[in-house]
Amino acid sequence: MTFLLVLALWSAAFWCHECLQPRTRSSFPRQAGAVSVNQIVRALAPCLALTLCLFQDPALGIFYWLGLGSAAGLSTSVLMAVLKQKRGLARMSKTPL
Amino acid sequence: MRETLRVHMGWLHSWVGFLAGLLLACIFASGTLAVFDTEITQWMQPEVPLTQGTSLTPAALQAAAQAVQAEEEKGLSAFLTLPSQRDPVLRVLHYDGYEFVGTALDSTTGAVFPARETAGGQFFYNFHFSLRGGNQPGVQIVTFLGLCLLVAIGSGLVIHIKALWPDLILFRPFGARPRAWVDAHLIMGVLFLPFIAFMGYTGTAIHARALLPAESFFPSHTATPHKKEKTAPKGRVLQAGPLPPPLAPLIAQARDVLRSPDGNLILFTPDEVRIFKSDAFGPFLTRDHVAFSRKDGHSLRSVTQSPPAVATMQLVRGLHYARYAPLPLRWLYFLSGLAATTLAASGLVVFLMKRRRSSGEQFFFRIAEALTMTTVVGFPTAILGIFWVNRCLPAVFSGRAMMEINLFFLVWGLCAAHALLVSLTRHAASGWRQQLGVLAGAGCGLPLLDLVSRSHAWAQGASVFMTADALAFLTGLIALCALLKLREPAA
Repeated sequence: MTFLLVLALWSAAFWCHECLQPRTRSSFPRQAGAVSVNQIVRALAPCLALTLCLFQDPALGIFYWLGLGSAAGLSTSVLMAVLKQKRGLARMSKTPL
Repeated sequence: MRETLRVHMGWLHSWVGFLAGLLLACIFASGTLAVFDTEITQWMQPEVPLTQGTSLTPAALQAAAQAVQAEEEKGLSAFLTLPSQRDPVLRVLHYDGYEFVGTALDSTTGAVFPARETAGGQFFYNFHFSLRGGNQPGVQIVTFLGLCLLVAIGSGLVIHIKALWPDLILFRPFGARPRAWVDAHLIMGVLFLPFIAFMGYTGTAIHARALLPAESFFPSHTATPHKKEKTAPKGRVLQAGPLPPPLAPLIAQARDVLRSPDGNLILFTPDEVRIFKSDAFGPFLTRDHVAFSRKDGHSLRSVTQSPPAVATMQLVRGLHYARYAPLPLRWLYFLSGLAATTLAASGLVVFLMKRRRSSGEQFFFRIAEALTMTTVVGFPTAILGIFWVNRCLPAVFSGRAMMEINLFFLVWGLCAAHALLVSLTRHAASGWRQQLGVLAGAGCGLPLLDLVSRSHAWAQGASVFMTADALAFLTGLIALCALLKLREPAA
């Protein structure tokens, strides 16, 4: 249960981070107040997740925090990509090579 | 100046990453599987029931001691692993030069389970750190590749540092094909950077002496030659010791001293019985042990303290080997290992995509594409091949473990030959599709084969069998998706 919560907190932090990027802000317009909320969540959610991990397992908490963070980042990025695809924004990117 | 540095680092990252990445992807993949080496061995030895507890009887220990002595009479240095939560079986193992292999005993009666001979998960563990090439050159090559990995990580960071923060989770799988591959490479590298850098560093540090030995590579002319004591090669003994004393009281005494309730390791020398602390209790991979006399069982000494430098290396080893990790953490290691494998594989693909037009698909490009195909598709096919061979060969078959390994390399070799053939004849695209088709068939068919072979009862240790089969099926599905994607025209 704790680990699910940690995963959710990390996902929220990554989601807010992506929402704060100019490219996403133009695709998903938000109100002015939402920016501050996003910034606060982005800063606090990982700290809270770390606290929970250390509380759950003081010796190995840091490893859970890092591992779940990576997993949450990956799943959030895939979710974001799918949402952008649904809104027809996926093919706007340039070819890198 | 800064841009010049990025350009130089880009060149370094591309070439070091590609040349080292061809083998690093295999090392990452085998390391990922080695996280569950015990479980893979359990899957490959379905005759061993996994429903026993961790309790031991004196009769079982006596049978194990006799088995150890019998192995010593054959010149093999055998040892015992006691049942643990993870592997509830009493095992009598010896080192065959590559893997720890041996028999599994019932921890209550001491009867030997008629389990099939297999290299099991140990094969992937050995491949991960030595490519099954022994200390020289296997471990040396892997350690050197570890250094290359650190160089690739450093140069990759310099290239990507400006976009690191804003593009932290940017992934465009539905964009143009090159864009999607670059994003996949970046996202794996960035999100799993702590794990990959840490594992790369600790893996290199563990075997640093393979590259930088404490003594000179060349013998000194001034040093006086000293007389060498006659020692047995690793995994062998020169002479068998006497039958050890009853082990149950020694184990109880050692567990009190070591505070290690199960899963201990017991080594035997002609004079001593050494009972080691289990690696499952804490991230320090200690060699804490209690030594007893092999003649009468009296306690000789206990080693439970390590100097700080030794303790540091114990921590480095412990964190890399992850034997301490409980199941959820082991899954995170596994996931991170998969991410590292994807990072290396996507890097190889990006390298090829970037040069396909500019190279005019000349000879060296075609060789590079063949090697990439061998790594990205051939290696997982060979891995699945070893699982197939395990179920297809008769359970009672002499030299079975070696046969599995030989067939693994045969499948990988065939994939390499096929990749070279199709690449050199300018049919690489159909080569990718053919190999992906084989991989998809091997992956999706494995659960069916496991079911049809009726090698085990599904009620016993079902989670091990179902998880392994599900992961194989998932690999097949991913290969199938890639195959279908390759049939579409490139965006």
